[in-house]
Amino acid sequence: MDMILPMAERLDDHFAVAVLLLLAVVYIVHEKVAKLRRQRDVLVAARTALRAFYLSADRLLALPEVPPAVKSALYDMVRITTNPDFGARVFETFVGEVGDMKHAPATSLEAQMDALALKSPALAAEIVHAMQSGLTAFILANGHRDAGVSLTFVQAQEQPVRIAEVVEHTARRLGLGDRDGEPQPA
Amino acid sequence: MRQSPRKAPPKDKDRGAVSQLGEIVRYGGPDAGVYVAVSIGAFGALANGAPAAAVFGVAVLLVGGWLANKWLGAYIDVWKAKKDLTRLRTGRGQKILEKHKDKRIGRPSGKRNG
Repeated sequence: MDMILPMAERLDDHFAVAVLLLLAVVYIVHEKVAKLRRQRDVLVAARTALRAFYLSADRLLALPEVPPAVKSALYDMVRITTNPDFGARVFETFVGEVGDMKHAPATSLEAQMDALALKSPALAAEIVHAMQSGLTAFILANGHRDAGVSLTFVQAQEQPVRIAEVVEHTARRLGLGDRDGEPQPA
Repeated sequence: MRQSPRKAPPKDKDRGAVSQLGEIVRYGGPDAGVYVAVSIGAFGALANGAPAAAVFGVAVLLVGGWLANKWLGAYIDVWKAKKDLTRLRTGRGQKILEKHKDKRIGRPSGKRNG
């Protein structure tokens, strides 16, 4: 106390304000750095998921047992995950729609997957897993700045086939259906 | 059953300032170590009669340098992660698209199948 009191007397108002400003700057920079580190972690996870998706998709697209509609959906997912600009546009539209999908009626792709699951459960499980990886990569790569990405991610994991189809339809609505007008990857 | 003799924990007076700073770094990370070291250094300098403005200037330089290093490091990490992702997309992704370009069915856009 004997040491601190004389020191405190020497500190004038300007000095105290300067110290407070320095503390504020320290806090702001720490927040920014934490945000950047979260972004980095999400991008690394996106790359891991994308690598797994490419591996599965490459294999499944070559298998004759996989129904053409499922192959088409997988192929479109490869296109969406490969083209970052187009993926970002699809992501913006898709995020608004994904929450409403839970109570929607079953889609044709889901019906085809159900039929495939009866015939070949292992193959159906592999396709679902590939779609989950693709959706994970798609959501993480495009939503790494979005605080709400976690909710979208969880919703996408619950119903991967339905949401993969929603993503595909969103992409087609935004122009992926037009081969000639297809944006090229950067 | 005989218990093995335990070493008595070192008393506070036995531990030097460096090892105490090491403990702080261990629990609070390198940030805590830097801030505690700068704070102690600043208080020590003020207690020894150093001019407040000079102490503040040096503290700002040290803390600012540390923060700039952190920010730049984190920014470079994000940039590298983006570059790795892009490399995977343009390499592997493009190859798959080329290899399986016949797999896509032209469905009417905006409508669901079935």
